[in-house]
Amino acid sequence: MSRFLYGIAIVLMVVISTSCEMLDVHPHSVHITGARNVNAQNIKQIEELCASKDTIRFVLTGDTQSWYDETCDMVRCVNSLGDIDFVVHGGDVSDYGMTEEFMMQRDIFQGFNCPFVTIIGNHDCLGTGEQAYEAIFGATNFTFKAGKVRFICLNTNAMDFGFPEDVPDLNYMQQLLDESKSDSTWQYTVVSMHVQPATVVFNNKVMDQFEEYVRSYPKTLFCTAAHDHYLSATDIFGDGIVYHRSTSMDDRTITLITIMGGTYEYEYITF
Amino acid sequence: MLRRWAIVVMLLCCVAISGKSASADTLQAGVSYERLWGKLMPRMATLQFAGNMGFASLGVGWKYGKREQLESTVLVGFVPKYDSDKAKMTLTFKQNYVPIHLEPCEKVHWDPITLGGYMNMITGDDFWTKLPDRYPRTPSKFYLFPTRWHFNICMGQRVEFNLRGKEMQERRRSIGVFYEFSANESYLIEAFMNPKYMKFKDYAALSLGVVLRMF
Repeated sequence: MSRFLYGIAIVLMVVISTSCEMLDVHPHSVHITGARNVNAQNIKQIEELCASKDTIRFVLTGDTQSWYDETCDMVRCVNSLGDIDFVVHGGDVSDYGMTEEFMMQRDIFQGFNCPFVTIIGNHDCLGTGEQAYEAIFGATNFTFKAGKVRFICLNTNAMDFGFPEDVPDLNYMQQLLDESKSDSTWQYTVVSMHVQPATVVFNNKVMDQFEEYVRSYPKTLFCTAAHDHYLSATDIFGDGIVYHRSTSMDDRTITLITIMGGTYEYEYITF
Repeated sequence: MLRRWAIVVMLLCCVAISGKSASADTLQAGVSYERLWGKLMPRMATLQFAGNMGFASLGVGWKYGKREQLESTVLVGFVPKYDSDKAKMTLTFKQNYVPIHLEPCEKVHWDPITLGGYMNMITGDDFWTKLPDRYPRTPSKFYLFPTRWHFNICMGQRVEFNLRGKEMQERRRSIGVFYEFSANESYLIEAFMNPKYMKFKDYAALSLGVVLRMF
Protein backbone atom coordinates (compact mmCIF):
# COMPACT_ATOMS: atom_id res chain seq x y z
CA MET A 1 0.00 0.00 0.00
CA SER A 2 2.75 2.43 0.94
CA ARG A 3 4.40 2.05 -2.47
CA PHE A 4 1.16 2.92 -4.20
CA LEU A 5 0.63 5.95 -1.96
CA TYR A 6 4.19 7.16 -2.56
CA GLY A 7 3.55 6.78 -6.30
CA ILE A 8 0.33 8.80 -6.08
CA ALA A 9 2.04 11.49 -3.99
CA ILE A 10 4.86 11.77 -6.55
CA VAL A 11 2.40 12.02 -9.47
CA LEU A 12 0.44 14.74 -7.66
CA MET A 13 3.58 16.70 -6.80
CA VAL A 14 4.82 16.51 -10.40
CA VAL A 15 1.42 17.63 -11.75
CA ILE A 16 1.13 20.56 -9.34
CA SER A 17 4.74 21.75 -9.58
CA THR A 18 4.86 21.67 -13.40
CA SER A 19 1.36 22.99 -14.00
CA CYS A 20 0.55 25.43 -11.20
CA GLU A 21 0.45 28.28 -13.73
CA MET A 22 -2.43 26.37 -15.34
CA LEU A 23 -4.66 26.77 -12.29
CA ASP A 24 -7.00 29.03 -14.27
CA VAL A 25 -9.84 30.46 -12.22
CA HIS A 26 -12.19 31.51 -15.01
CA PRO A 27 -11.87 32.77 -18.63
CA HIS A 28 -13.36 36.11 -17.52
CA SER A 29 -11.62 36.36 -14.13
CA VAL A 30 -9.51 39.46 -15.06
CA HIS A 31 -6.72 37.87 -13.00
CA ILE A 32 -3.81 39.71 -14.57
CA THR A 33 -0.21 38.54 -14.33
CA GLY A 34 2.74 40.25 -16.00
CA ALA A 35 2.98 43.77 -17.41
CA ARG A 36 0.19 46.28 -16.76
CA ASN A 37 -0.59 49.76 -18.02
CA VAL A 38 1.43 48.95 -21.12
CA ASN A 39 0.22 51.86 -23.28
CA ALA A 40 1.42 54.51 -20.80
CA GLN A 41 4.90 52.94 -20.61
CA ASN A 42 5.17 52.75 -24.40
CA ILE A 43 3.83 56.29 -24.89
CA LYS A 44 6.61 57.59 -22.68
CA GLN A 45 9.14 55.85 -24.95
CA ILE A 46 7.47 57.09 -28.15
CA GLU A 47 7.42 60.70 -26.96
CA GLU A 48 11.09 60.54 -25.94
CA LEU A 49 12.26 58.79 -29.13
CA CYS A 50 10.29 61.01 -31.51
CA ALA A 51 10.68 64.35 -29.68
CA SER A 52 13.04 65.88 -32.22
CA LYS A 53 11.98 63.95 -35.33
CA ASP A 54 10.37 65.53 -38.39
CA THR A 55 9.79 62.20 -40.11
CA ILE A 56 7.75 59.54 -38.31
CA ARG A 57 7.51 55.93 -39.55
CA PHE A 58 4.94 53.72 -37.91
CA VAL A 59 3.20 50.44 -38.62
CA LEU A 60 -0.59 50.17 -38.56
CA THR A 61 -2.02 46.77 -37.74
CA GLY A 62 -5.01 45.32 -35.88
CA ASP A 63 -7.51 42.46 -35.54
CA THR A 64 -4.93 39.99 -34.29
CA GLN A 65 -7.61 38.11 -32.34
CA SER A 66 -7.20 34.32 -32.32
CA TRP A 67 -4.36 34.53 -34.86
CA TYR A 68 -1.37 34.06 -32.57
CA ASP A 69 0.83 32.25 -35.13
CA GLU A 70 0.30 35.02 -37.68
CA THR A 71 0.81 37.72 -35.03
CA CYS A 72 4.21 36.21 -34.13
CA ASP A 73 5.13 36.36 -37.85
CA MET A 74 3.92 39.97 -38.01
CA VAL A 75 6.17 40.95 -35.08
CA ARG A 76 9.14 39.34 -36.86
CA CYS A 77 8.22 41.22 -40.06
CA VAL A 78 8.03 44.60 -38.26
CA ASN A 79 11.34 43.97 -36.53
CA SER A 80 12.96 43.11 -39.87
CA LEU A 81 11.89 46.47 -41.36
CA GLY A 82 14.16 48.40 -38.99
CA ASP A 83 13.87 52.12 -38.24
CA ILE A 84 10.20 51.87 -37.20
CA ASP A 85 9.30 54.44 -34.54
CA PHE A 86 6.25 52.61 -33.15
CA VAL A 87 3.32 50.33 -33.92
CA VAL A 88 -0.37 51.26 -33.66
CA HIS A 89 -2.62 48.25 -33.05
CA GLY A 90 -6.14 49.19 -34.12
CA GLY A 91 -7.95 46.89 -31.68
CA ASP A 92 -9.49 43.41 -31.37
CA VAL A 93 -6.67 41.93 -29.40
CA SER A 94 -9.04 39.25 -28.14
CA ASP A 95 -11.78 37.29 -29.86
CA TYR A 96 -13.95 36.35 -26.87
CA GLY A 97 -12.91 38.95 -24.25
CA MET A 98 -11.12 36.23 -22.25
CA THR A 99 -8.40 37.47 -19.90
CA GLU A 100 -5.80 34.98 -21.09
CA GLU A 101 -6.20 36.17 -24.70
CA PHE A 102 -5.18 39.70 -23.72
CA MET A 103 -2.15 38.45 -21.83
CA MET A 104 -0.98 36.16 -24.64
CA GLN A 105 -1.27 38.94 -27.23
CA ARG A 106 0.48 41.42 -24.91
CA ASP A 107 3.35 38.96 -24.50
CA ILE A 108 3.67 38.61 -28.28
CA PHE A 109 3.62 42.42 -28.80
CA GLN A 110 6.41 42.77 -26.27
CA GLY A 111 8.59 41.11 -28.90
CA PHE A 112 8.47 44.32 -30.99
CA ASN A 113 11.82 46.12 -31.13
CA CYS A 114 9.91 49.41 -30.95
CA PRO A 115 7.16 50.68 -28.64
CA PHE A 116 3.50 49.98 -29.46
CA VAL A 117 0.06 51.23 -28.45
CA THR A 118 -3.14 49.20 -28.50
CA ILE A 119 -6.63 50.63 -29.12
CA ILE A 120 -9.73 48.86 -27.79
CA GLY A 121 -11.79 46.90 -30.34
CA ASN A 122 -15.37 45.64 -30.21
CA HIS A 123 -14.34 42.04 -29.44
CA ASP A 124 -12.24 43.40 -26.57
CA CYS A 125 -15.47 44.63 -24.97
CA LEU A 126 -17.06 41.15 -24.63
CA GLY A 127 -17.69 39.90 -21.09
CA THR A 128 -15.09 41.45 -18.79
CA GLY A 129 -12.86 42.26 -21.78
CA GLU A 130 -12.95 46.03 -21.27
CA GLN A 131 -11.81 45.57 -17.65
CA ALA A 132 -8.96 43.28 -18.76
CA TYR A 133 -8.01 45.81 -21.47
CA GLU A 134 -7.93 48.67 -18.94
CA ALA A 135 -5.81 46.67 -16.48
CA ILE A 136 -3.30 45.57 -19.12
CA PHE A 137 -3.20 48.43 -21.63
CA GLY A 138 -4.79 51.40 -19.83
CA ALA A 139 -7.51 53.96 -20.58
CA THR A 140 -9.79 53.35 -23.57
CA ASN A 141 -9.34 56.95 -24.80
CA PHE A 142 -5.77 58.23 -24.86
CA THR A 143 -3.43 60.49 -26.75
CA PHE A 144 0.29 60.81 -27.36
CA LYS A 145 2.65 62.99 -29.29
CA ALA A 146 5.21 61.75 -31.85
CA GLY A 147 7.30 64.81 -32.71
CA LYS A 148 4.88 67.42 -33.99
CA VAL A 149 2.08 64.93 -34.59
CA ARG A 150 -0.61 64.37 -31.98
CA PHE A 151 -2.19 60.89 -32.14
CA ILE A 152 -5.70 60.72 -30.67
CA CYS A 153 -6.85 57.14 -29.95
CA LEU A 154 -10.56 56.67 -29.24
CA ASN A 155 -12.99 53.99 -28.17
CA THR A 156 -15.64 54.01 -30.92
CA ASN A 157 -17.25 50.60 -30.21
CA ALA A 158 -20.63 52.13 -29.39
CA MET A 159 -22.76 49.08 -30.22
CA ASP A 160 -21.10 46.92 -27.56
CA PHE A 161 -22.06 49.43 -24.88
CA GLY A 162 -25.62 49.94 -26.18
CA PHE A 163 -24.83 53.22 -28.00
CA PRO A 164 -24.23 55.39 -24.90
CA GLU A 165 -23.54 59.12 -25.15
CA ASP A 166 -19.87 58.80 -24.23
CA VAL A 167 -18.81 56.38 -26.99
CA PRO A 168 -17.20 58.08 -28.83
CA ASP A 169 -16.48 60.51 -26.01
CA LEU A 170 -17.17 63.92 -27.56
CA ASN A 171 -16.32 65.66 -24.26
CA TYR A 172 -12.85 64.15 -24.44
CA MET A 173 -12.55 65.30 -28.05
CA GLN A 174 -13.63 68.81 -27.01
CA GLN A 175 -11.10 68.82 -24.17
CA LEU A 176 -8.33 67.95 -26.63
CA LEU A 177 -9.54 70.64 -29.02
CA ASP A 178 -9.26 73.19 -26.21
CA GLU A 179 -5.73 71.97 -25.46
CA SER A 180 -4.72 72.27 -29.11
CA LYS A 181 -5.29 76.04 -28.99
CA SER A 182 -2.61 76.53 -26.35
CA ASP A 183 -0.10 73.93 -27.60
CA SER A 184 2.14 75.39 -30.30
CA THR A 185 4.12 72.14 -30.67
CA TRP A 186 0.97 70.29 -31.81
CA GLN A 187 1.10 70.90 -35.56
CA TYR A 188 -0.48 67.79 -37.11
CA THR A 189 -3.10 65.30 -36.01
CA VAL A 190 -3.88 61.64 -36.63
CA VAL A 191 -7.11 60.21 -35.18
CA SER A 192 -7.10 56.43 -34.56
CA MET A 193 -9.99 54.14 -33.67
CA HIS A 194 -11.20 50.58 -34.13
CA VAL A 195 -14.50 51.14 -35.97
CA GLN A 196 -14.76 54.05 -38.34
CA PRO A 197 -17.91 56.18 -38.85
CA ALA A 198 -20.72 54.90 -41.11
CA THR A 199 -20.28 51.31 -39.91
CA VAL A 200 -22.82 49.32 -37.89
CA VAL A 201 -20.81 49.41 -34.64
CA PHE A 202 -20.24 53.20 -34.70
CA ASN A 203 -22.79 55.57 -33.14
CA ASN A 204 -23.78 57.14 -36.44
CA LYS A 205 -26.13 59.62 -34.74
CA VAL A 206 -23.04 61.60 -33.76
CA MET A 207 -20.84 60.85 -36.76
CA ASP A 208 -21.14 64.39 -38.18
CA GLN A 209 -20.18 65.92 -34.81
CA PHE A 210 -17.35 63.40 -34.57
CA GLU A 211 -16.01 64.37 -37.99
CA GLU A 212 -16.36 68.07 -37.13
CA TYR A 213 -13.95 67.52 -34.23
CA VAL A 214 -11.62 65.48 -36.46
CA ARG A 215 -11.56 68.38 -38.97
CA SER A 216 -11.07 70.99 -36.23
CA TYR A 217 -7.81 69.63 -34.83
CA PRO A 218 -4.55 71.16 -36.09
CA LYS A 219 -4.11 69.91 -39.68
CA THR A 220 -5.56 66.43 -39.42
CA LEU A 221 -3.54 64.32 -41.85
CA PHE A 222 -5.65 61.13 -41.84
CA CYS A 223 -7.52 58.70 -39.59
CA THR A 224 -6.78 55.04 -38.92
CA ALA A 225 -9.23 52.22 -38.20
CA ALA A 226 -9.46 48.41 -38.26
CA HIS A 227 -12.44 46.05 -37.68
CA ASP A 228 -13.64 45.04 -41.15
CA HIS A 229 -10.76 42.66 -41.89
CA TYR A 230 -9.83 44.22 -45.22
CA LEU A 231 -7.52 47.03 -46.33
CA SER A 232 -9.05 50.28 -47.47
CA ALA A 233 -8.35 54.00 -47.74
CA THR A 234 -11.62 55.93 -47.94
CA ASP A 235 -12.56 59.61 -47.74
CA ILE A 236 -15.84 58.84 -45.93
CA PHE A 237 -17.12 62.41 -45.55
CA GLY A 238 -15.63 63.88 -48.75
CA ASP A 239 -13.64 66.37 -46.69
CA GLY A 240 -10.21 65.19 -47.76
CA ILE A 241 -9.55 63.19 -44.57
CA VAL A 242 -8.86 59.59 -45.52
CA TYR A 243 -9.65 56.69 -43.16
CA HIS A 244 -6.96 54.02 -43.51
CA ARG A 245 -8.20 50.62 -42.42
CA SER A 246 -5.81 47.83 -41.45
CA THR A 247 -6.71 44.22 -42.18
CA SER A 248 -6.82 41.15 -39.94
CA MET A 249 -3.84 38.91 -39.29
CA ASP A 250 -5.04 36.08 -41.53
CA ASP A 251 -4.40 38.43 -44.49
CA ARG A 252 -0.76 38.68 -43.34
CA THR A 253 -0.48 42.33 -44.39
CA ILE A 254 0.47 45.46 -42.46
CA THR A 255 0.39 49.13 -43.42
CA LEU A 256 3.60 51.17 -43.16
CA ILE A 257 2.91 54.91 -42.88
CA THR A 258 5.56 57.61 -43.13
CA ILE A 259 4.70 61.16 -42.04
CA MET A 260 7.00 63.88 -43.35
CA GLY A 261 5.98 67.33 -42.16
CA GLY A 262 2.47 67.97 -43.43
CA THR A 263 2.38 65.07 -45.90
CA TYR A 264 2.39 61.32 -45.60
CA GLU A 265 2.68 58.20 -47.69
CA TYR A 266 1.69 54.62 -47.06
CA GLU A 267 2.46 51.17 -48.38
CA TYR A 268 1.15 47.68 -47.72
CA ILE A 269 3.69 45.06 -46.69
CA THR A 270 2.88 41.37 -46.89
CA PHE A 271 4.69 38.87 -44.69
CA MET B 1 -38.32 32.86 -17.16
CA LEU B 2 -41.77 31.24 -17.68
CA ARG B 3 -40.10 28.07 -18.94
CA ARG B 4 -37.93 27.87 -15.81
CA TRP B 5 -40.95 28.18 -13.56
CA ALA B 6 -42.77 25.52 -15.61
CA ILE B 7 -39.88 23.09 -15.01
CA VAL B 8 -39.91 23.81 -11.26
CA VAL B 9 -43.71 23.24 -11.11
CA MET B 10 -43.38 19.98 -13.07
CA LEU B 11 -40.71 18.71 -10.68
CA LEU B 12 -42.87 19.57 -7.67
CA CYS B 13 -45.83 17.78 -9.32
CA CYS B 14 -43.69 14.66 -9.83
CA VAL B 15 -42.75 14.66 -6.15
CA ALA B 16 -46.40 15.26 -5.15
CA ILE B 17 -47.71 12.46 -7.41
CA SER B 18 -45.13 10.01 -6.08
CA GLY B 19 -46.20 10.96 -2.55
CA LYS B 20 -49.92 10.67 -3.38
CA SER B 21 -49.56 7.20 -4.86
CA ALA B 22 -48.03 6.05 -1.60
CA SER B 23 -50.47 7.78 0.73
CA ALA B 24 -52.97 4.90 0.79
CA ASP B 25 -50.85 2.93 3.11
CA THR B 26 -48.74 4.74 5.73
CA LEU B 27 -46.11 2.04 5.82
CA GLN B 28 -46.00 1.93 2.02
CA ALA B 29 -45.65 5.74 1.94
CA GLY B 30 -42.74 5.59 4.34
CA VAL B 31 -40.99 3.00 2.21
CA SER B 32 -41.66 4.98 -1.01
CA TYR B 33 -40.37 8.23 0.40
CA GLU B 34 -37.33 6.46 1.74
CA ARG B 35 -36.74 4.80 -1.60
CA LEU B 36 -37.29 8.05 -3.51
CA TRP B 37 -35.03 10.00 -1.19
CA GLY B 38 -32.51 7.20 -1.34
CA LYS B 39 -32.40 7.60 -5.11
CA LEU B 40 -32.36 11.39 -5.18
CA MET B 41 -29.99 11.95 -2.30
CA PRO B 42 -26.53 13.11 -3.41
CA ARG B 43 -23.82 10.50 -2.95
CA MET B 44 -20.82 12.76 -2.74
CA ALA B 45 -19.65 16.26 -1.91
CA THR B 46 -16.95 17.89 -4.00
CA LEU B 47 -14.64 20.84 -3.45
CA GLN B 48 -12.80 21.83 -6.61
CA PHE B 49 -10.16 24.51 -7.08
CA ALA B 50 -9.65 26.36 -10.40
CA GLY B 51 -10.44 24.58 -13.69
CA ASN B 52 -12.11 27.65 -15.25
CA MET B 53 -15.16 27.26 -13.00
CA GLY B 54 -14.09 29.60 -10.19
CA PHE B 55 -11.32 29.93 -7.62
CA ALA B 56 -13.17 27.37 -5.50
CA SER B 57 -16.37 25.47 -6.29
CA LEU B 58 -18.43 23.44 -3.86
CA GLY B 59 -20.95 20.90 -5.05
CA VAL B 60 -22.85 17.68 -4.64
CA GLY B 61 -22.92 14.71 -6.97
CA TRP B 62 -24.63 11.47 -7.82
CA LYS B 63 -23.16 8.14 -8.97
CA TYR B 64 -25.07 5.69 -11.10
CA GLY B 65 -24.75 3.04 -13.76
CA LYS B 66 -24.17 -0.70 -13.38
CA ARG B 67 -20.66 -0.21 -12.00
CA GLU B 68 -21.30 3.33 -10.80
CA GLN B 69 -19.22 4.49 -13.74
CA LEU B 70 -21.28 7.63 -14.32
CA GLU B 71 -21.24 10.70 -12.13
CA SER B 72 -23.21 13.96 -12.28
CA THR B 73 -22.17 16.92 -10.17
CA VAL B 74 -23.59 20.39 -9.62
CA LEU B 75 -21.16 22.97 -8.28
CA VAL B 76 -21.42 26.57 -7.16
CA GLY B 77 -18.19 28.51 -7.58
CA PHE B 78 -16.68 31.81 -6.56
CA VAL B 79 -14.56 34.08 -8.76
CA PRO B 80 -12.72 36.78 -6.74
CA LYS B 81 -12.77 40.37 -7.92
CA TYR B 82 -9.12 40.51 -9.01
CA ASP B 83 -8.86 43.45 -11.48
CA SER B 84 -12.52 43.40 -12.48
CA ASP B 85 -15.39 45.51 -11.15
CA LYS B 86 -16.77 42.87 -8.80
CA ALA B 87 -16.57 39.26 -7.59
CA LYS B 88 -18.76 36.73 -9.40
CA MET B 89 -20.49 33.42 -8.77
CA THR B 90 -20.57 30.47 -11.16
CA LEU B 91 -22.79 27.43 -11.61
CA THR B 92 -21.36 24.26 -13.14
CA PHE B 93 -23.09 21.11 -14.39
CA LYS B 94 -20.53 18.36 -14.69
CA GLN B 95 -20.79 14.88 -16.14
CA ASN B 96 -18.02 12.32 -15.59
CA TYR B 97 -17.40 8.87 -16.98
CA VAL B 98 -15.12 6.63 -14.94
CA PRO B 99 -14.37 3.56 -17.08
CA ILE B 100 -11.96 1.80 -14.71
CA HIS B 101 -12.09 1.32 -10.93
CA LEU B 102 -9.07 -0.31 -9.33
CA GLU B 103 -8.30 -1.33 -5.77
CA PRO B 104 -4.49 -1.39 -5.75
CA CYS B 105 -4.47 -2.16 -2.05
CA GLU B 106 -6.84 -2.52 0.86
CA LYS B 107 -9.05 0.47 1.61
CA VAL B 108 -7.78 2.39 -1.43
CA HIS B 109 -9.72 3.00 -4.64
CA TRP B 110 -8.00 4.32 -7.74
CA ASP B 111 -9.66 5.71 -10.86
CA PRO B 112 -6.71 5.88 -13.29
CA ILE B 113 -8.73 7.89 -15.79
CA THR B 114 -11.79 10.08 -15.47
CA LEU B 115 -13.32 11.58 -18.59
CA GLY B 116 -15.99 14.21 -18.72
CA GLY B 117 -17.36 17.55 -19.63
CA TYR B 118 -18.97 20.47 -17.90
CA MET B 119 -21.08 23.51 -18.67
CA ASN B 120 -20.20 26.57 -16.66
CA MET B 121 -22.24 29.76 -16.35
CA ILE B 122 -21.15 32.98 -14.69
CA THR B 123 -23.32 35.61 -13.02
CA GLY B 124 -23.21 39.34 -13.73
CA ASP B 125 -24.46 42.02 -16.09
CA ASP B 126 -21.32 41.80 -18.22
CA PHE B 127 -22.45 38.50 -19.71
CA TRP B 128 -25.26 37.27 -21.92
CA THR B 129 -26.75 33.96 -23.00
CA LYS B 130 -28.88 35.23 -25.87
CA LEU B 131 -27.33 37.79 -28.20
CA PRO B 132 -28.64 41.18 -26.97
CA ASP B 133 -31.03 43.08 -29.25
CA ARG B 134 -28.48 45.81 -29.96
CA TYR B 135 -26.55 43.41 -32.21
CA PRO B 136 -27.64 42.71 -35.81
CA ARG B 137 -28.74 39.17 -36.79
CA THR B 138 -28.10 39.48 -40.50
CA PRO B 139 -26.20 38.54 -42.59
CA SER B 140 -24.96 36.36 -39.69
CA LYS B 141 -24.99 36.48 -35.91
CA PHE B 142 -22.58 39.20 -34.79
CA TYR B 143 -21.01 37.07 -32.04
CA LEU B 144 -21.24 33.30 -32.29
CA PHE B 145 -20.79 32.15 -28.67
CA PRO B 146 -22.64 33.30 -25.53
CA THR B 147 -20.31 35.04 -23.07
CA ARG B 148 -22.13 33.68 -20.01
CA TRP B 149 -21.63 29.98 -20.82
CA HIS B 150 -18.53 27.96 -21.48
CA PHE B 151 -18.37 24.29 -22.40
CA ASN B 152 -15.39 22.30 -21.20
CA ILE B 153 -13.99 18.82 -21.70
CA CYS B 154 -11.88 17.30 -18.95
CA MET B 155 -9.65 14.33 -18.13
CA GLY B 156 -7.99 13.38 -14.86
CA GLN B 157 -7.24 10.86 -12.14
CA ARG B 158 -8.57 10.21 -8.66
CA VAL B 159 -7.62 8.22 -5.60
CA GLU B 160 -9.94 7.56 -2.65
CA PHE B 161 -9.28 6.21 0.83
CA ASN B 162 -11.85 4.38 2.92
CA LEU B 163 -12.69 6.17 6.14
CA ARG B 164 -11.86 4.44 9.40
CA GLY B 165 -14.48 2.83 11.56
CA LYS B 166 -16.54 -0.32 11.02
CA GLU B 167 -19.71 1.45 9.95
CA MET B 168 -17.82 3.75 7.59
CA GLN B 169 -16.15 0.78 5.90
CA GLU B 170 -19.34 -1.24 5.64
CA ARG B 171 -21.03 1.66 3.89
CA ARG B 172 -17.97 2.39 1.74
CA ARG B 173 -17.51 5.93 3.00
CA SER B 174 -14.34 7.51 1.67
CA ILE B 175 -12.38 10.67 1.09
CA GLY B 176 -10.43 11.23 -2.09
CA VAL B 177 -8.32 13.69 -4.04
CA PHE B 178 -8.28 14.28 -7.77
CA TYR B 179 -6.74 16.42 -10.47
CA GLU B 180 -8.13 17.27 -13.85
CA PHE B 181 -7.02 18.99 -17.05
CA SER B 182 -9.77 20.79 -18.93
CA ALA B 183 -10.22 23.09 -21.93
CA ASN B 184 -13.17 25.16 -23.04
CA GLU B 185 -14.60 25.53 -26.54
CA SER B 186 -12.97 28.91 -27.29
CA TYR B 187 -9.47 27.85 -26.23
CA LEU B 188 -9.81 24.61 -28.21
CA ILE B 189 -10.70 26.58 -31.35
CA GLU B 190 -7.70 28.85 -30.79
CA ALA B 191 -5.44 25.83 -30.17
CA PHE B 192 -6.62 24.30 -33.46
CA MET B 193 -5.97 27.60 -35.29
CA ASN B 194 -2.50 28.12 -33.79
CA PRO B 195 -0.58 24.85 -33.72
CA LYS B 196 2.76 26.67 -33.45
CA TYR B 197 2.03 29.20 -30.70
CA MET B 198 -0.55 27.50 -28.49
CA LYS B 199 1.00 24.97 -26.17
CA PHE B 200 -0.94 22.67 -23.84
CA LYS B 201 -0.44 25.10 -20.95
CA ASP B 202 -1.99 27.93 -23.02
CA TYR B 203 -5.33 26.28 -23.75
CA ALA B 204 -5.70 23.76 -20.92
CA ALA B 205 -6.48 24.45 -17.27
CA LEU B 206 -5.58 22.39 -14.22
CA SER B 207 -7.94 21.86 -11.32
CA LEU B 208 -7.44 20.08 -8.01
CA GLY B 209 -10.20 18.72 -5.83
CA VAL B 210 -11.37 16.78 -2.84
CA VAL B 211 -14.30 14.38 -2.98
CA LEU B 212 -16.09 13.08 0.08
CA ARG B 213 -18.50 10.12 0.00
CA MET B 214 -20.44 10.47 3.20
CA PHE B 215 -24.05 9.89 2.21
